[in-house]
Amino acid sequence: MTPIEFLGLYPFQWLAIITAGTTLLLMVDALVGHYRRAFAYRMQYAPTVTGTALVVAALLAAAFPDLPLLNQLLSWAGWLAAATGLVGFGYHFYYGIVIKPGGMKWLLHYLMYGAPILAPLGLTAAGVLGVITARGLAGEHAVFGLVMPVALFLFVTIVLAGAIVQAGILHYRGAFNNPAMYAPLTIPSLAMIAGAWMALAPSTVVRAAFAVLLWMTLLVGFIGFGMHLRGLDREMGGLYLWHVNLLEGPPQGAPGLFIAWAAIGLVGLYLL
Amino acid sequence: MTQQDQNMDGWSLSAPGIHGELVPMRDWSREEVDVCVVGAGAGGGVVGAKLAEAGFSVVILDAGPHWDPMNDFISDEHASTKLYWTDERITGGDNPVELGTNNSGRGVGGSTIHYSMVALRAHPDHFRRRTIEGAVENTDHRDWPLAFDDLEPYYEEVEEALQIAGPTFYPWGKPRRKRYPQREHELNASANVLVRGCAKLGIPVAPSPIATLSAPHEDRPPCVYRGFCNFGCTTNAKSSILVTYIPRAIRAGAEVRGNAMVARITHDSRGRATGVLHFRKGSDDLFQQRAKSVIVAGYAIESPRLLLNSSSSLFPQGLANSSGVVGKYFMVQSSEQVFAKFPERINQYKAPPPGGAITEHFNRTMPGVGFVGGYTIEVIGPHPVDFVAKMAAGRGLWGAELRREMFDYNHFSALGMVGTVMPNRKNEVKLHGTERDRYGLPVPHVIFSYHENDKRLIKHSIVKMKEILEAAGGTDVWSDHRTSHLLGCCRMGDDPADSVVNADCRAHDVPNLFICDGSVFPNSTGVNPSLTIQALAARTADRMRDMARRGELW
Amino acid sequence: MRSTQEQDDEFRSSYPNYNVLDKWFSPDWDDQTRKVVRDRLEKVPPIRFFSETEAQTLAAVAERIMPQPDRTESGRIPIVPWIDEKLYEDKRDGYRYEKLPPQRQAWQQGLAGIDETAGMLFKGRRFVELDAESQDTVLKRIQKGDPPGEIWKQLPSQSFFEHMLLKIVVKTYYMHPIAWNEIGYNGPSSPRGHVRIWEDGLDPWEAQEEARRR
Repeated sequence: MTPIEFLGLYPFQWLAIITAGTTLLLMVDALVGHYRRAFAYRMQYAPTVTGTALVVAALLAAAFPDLPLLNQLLSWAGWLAAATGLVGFGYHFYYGIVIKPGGMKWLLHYLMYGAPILAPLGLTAAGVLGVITARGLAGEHAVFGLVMPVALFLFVTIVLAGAIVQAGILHYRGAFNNPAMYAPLTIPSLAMIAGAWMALAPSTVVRAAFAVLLWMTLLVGFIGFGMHLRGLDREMGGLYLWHVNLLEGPPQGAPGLFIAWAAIGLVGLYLL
Repeated sequence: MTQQDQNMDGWSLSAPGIHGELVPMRDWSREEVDVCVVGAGAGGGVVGAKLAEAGFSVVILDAGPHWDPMNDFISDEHASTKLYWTDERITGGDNPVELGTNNSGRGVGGSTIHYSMVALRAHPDHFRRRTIEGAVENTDHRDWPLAFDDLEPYYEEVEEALQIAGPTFYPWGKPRRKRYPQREHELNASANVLVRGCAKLGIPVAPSPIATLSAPHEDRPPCVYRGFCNFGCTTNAKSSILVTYIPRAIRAGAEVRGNAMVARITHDSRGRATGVLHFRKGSDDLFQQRAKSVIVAGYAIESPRLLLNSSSSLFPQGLANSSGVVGKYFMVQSSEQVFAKFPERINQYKAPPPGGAITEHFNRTMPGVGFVGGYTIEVIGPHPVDFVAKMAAGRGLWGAELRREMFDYNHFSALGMVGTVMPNRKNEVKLHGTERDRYGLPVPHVIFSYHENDKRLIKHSIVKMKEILEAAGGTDVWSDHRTSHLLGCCRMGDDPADSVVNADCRAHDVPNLFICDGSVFPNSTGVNPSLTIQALAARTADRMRDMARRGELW
Repeated sequence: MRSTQEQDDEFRSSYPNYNVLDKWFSPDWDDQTRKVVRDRLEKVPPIRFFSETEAQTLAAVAERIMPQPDRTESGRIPIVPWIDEKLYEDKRDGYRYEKLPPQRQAWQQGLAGIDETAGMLFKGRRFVELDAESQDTVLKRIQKGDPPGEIWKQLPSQSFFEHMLLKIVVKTYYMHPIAWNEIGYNGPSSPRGHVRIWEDGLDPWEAQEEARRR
């Protein structure tokens, strides 16, 4: 791969910034969701703590890419965040589904109203991205046995799958009350397919399609951000009752994740 | 838009909108309309709106005010008594029914303003009770003259119009062809009690389908879980008739006239209805609204009362009452409520009263129990004034002991049931011999006694609800008697000799008179009746439209 | 006579520091609700229907049905004025049991009957002259349905007690914000609703439980 500079930064610096941004978006939703549940479990503070560590480490590594110490810190922060996400997933699954009285017949209800099942894995993904970024900043051309661009395309495919499922569950809960709510399920799905294709059997056509779909996914993220903000206003009391509607309305960090995931793919396509 | 703006051709009135605004409305008072609907509730709102949308000229009258949800609904129990029928009625029999705030709404939207939004379809079996269960001594519980399948498309239609929020898989009744338009609500603490208890006992339990938005729809936001559903929804998330069918009716050119108590239905010498005479706000005189057809939708006390009050030389027993059955076969649904105390905070006043969970596991004729029919178990969440009255009545408690028990108000959780009641000719709504209301009209005298079957069913339900509450960790269980809903008195049937209306809700005796409310029920089903009333009204509107096209309506 | 301490303990609420009215300007209260509750607090009506005797008897009865010994005179929840207003304006409930006369007549007869029964059980004394225990005895007989007295031949005592007296007195008590405080009821809630609707879930504006009674 031949790293291409963009606006004065190298691709892995961009990925470090994207790592920080993704983590912040996830932390916002985690904080709101955990506050809604009144921090009933001490583990609910974990994403704030490990997330902050990852954000700081990523931004420092982006600012000083030549310092191996910061690189190492980013790697550790990444693994820590990834582990936290896995533990969080266990918590969400156990407390949100397993111990609930309704059993399997109520699974769909608990998926809609319990702790969002895939949300903690978003932190895991951010952590893994941090690890990949650290390797890249160290000058390595491959990670986890895959060439860098391929690793990124596969990463994007997997995280988009998770984002689509989670958005799907919650948009289903919202009864698709606005047709735009189908957008994050359709367009990113196509991007996912193109991403897998690019990882396994790249070609110029697939490359072009993937690029277009990534840009569209980016757009979906921006539109989604606007729609979720508007969604706050469609609740009773709108933005005036923000302290309630932030808890009950659409998650404000989530749409931005599509921007982040798409940006990673674009970095892999254009800058590596 | 000012009131009485005469320049808008024909649109010279205004009505409260649902966001505190005024909407323009037509004035049909000087004309003979196609349809005059008496009662702007579950039945009247649906049939009036659909006929207006089909191009009929429609006036919908209601005895009570046209509510403005943004300003008229008060977040206070006591101040909400204005939403109910508080004119005097006499109640008697062995088990006198509590009326007023228990089950009788008044005003545009009717009882859908204060009801608990439970939106259930009846089961196919409920329409064929007699065929399936055979005769039961001392009752006349009979088949409906129509089948579930006749009503199924209309259930779908009203569920879509009301955006019923229900689970993706609803385990009881005939399997659904379509998903509920919106998803079920999150469960509150009381509903979790029901789920816990049922899970422990192996009783199937599901999220409850209710007529409250769980997601934004058009100009209405989703529920914010105020818990004041029984006192008027200021959020507009509750899909009452007031915020769904009434705005449709007005937009389609209908006039919705509040504060218009109907005194009698007028008819001509051929025995065809010609309109109604009603009171208007600020006047003691009767006003005549001429109409080519009349639909009575006053619910199961006011509808028979109106027909009986409309007697004349041509109809000495009351309008459309050649069968003598108007006012007879009055039913309620038994609604015992069972309470228990829990170590955790329940805060029963939060979230919609039905809480989000329900079981219809016992809503069928069960073998070996000694009664036919069944009941649905739901969740309730009374506010303090309602709750203390129940506790005082249910336990005979008063004094220091009552006040101390009330300190634990936030730790109580309660279940309520809706149970089949047998139709009995002796249970009736008649005109009181001497009492008169403020309009000078004879007040209704409601006479009700439970049948042996009803009592056994109630006993069974209390045992079951107690088991469920205790399985969920509840202690100090007690129960209170209650009834809910009003049904019968103008029952439908194929034979004009023992029914008032046919399957199209058309009166046998008066071809341009229809009845669209719970009074047409020939048996009580085992589910809350509102959705069935609304579906019947939707079907009646279509039948009337078809009849008009064929020239058979007038 | 129990000590004041015992009396205080007897009516110790789990929410001693909670006051619904603290939320007066919060999004839990809208204008129309504020108006209604303000009137309830400030515009306590004068006695216009009951005679002085009837009002005194009813006040003593209400004190037995919903005792407030832990409160000073000015801190009590008023009960008689609201019942008086209901009868003065003849605000009905939308139904009357066929065996009971219209509400005005029923209450006047009922209160007279209470005094009659008190006199027959306790040597000609009026209800207000009895001690608490004796007053309870009178009320329990009326609740049971077999109280001595001529009036009860026209007015079924059990029905009057359960459907009118008990019900209206307790309802009048619990429609007052002071009662809401002692039970930890959230009170009005419009336009804001609730978020934490699950067990042990408390929104920050709800009543914190300080000491569970059990």
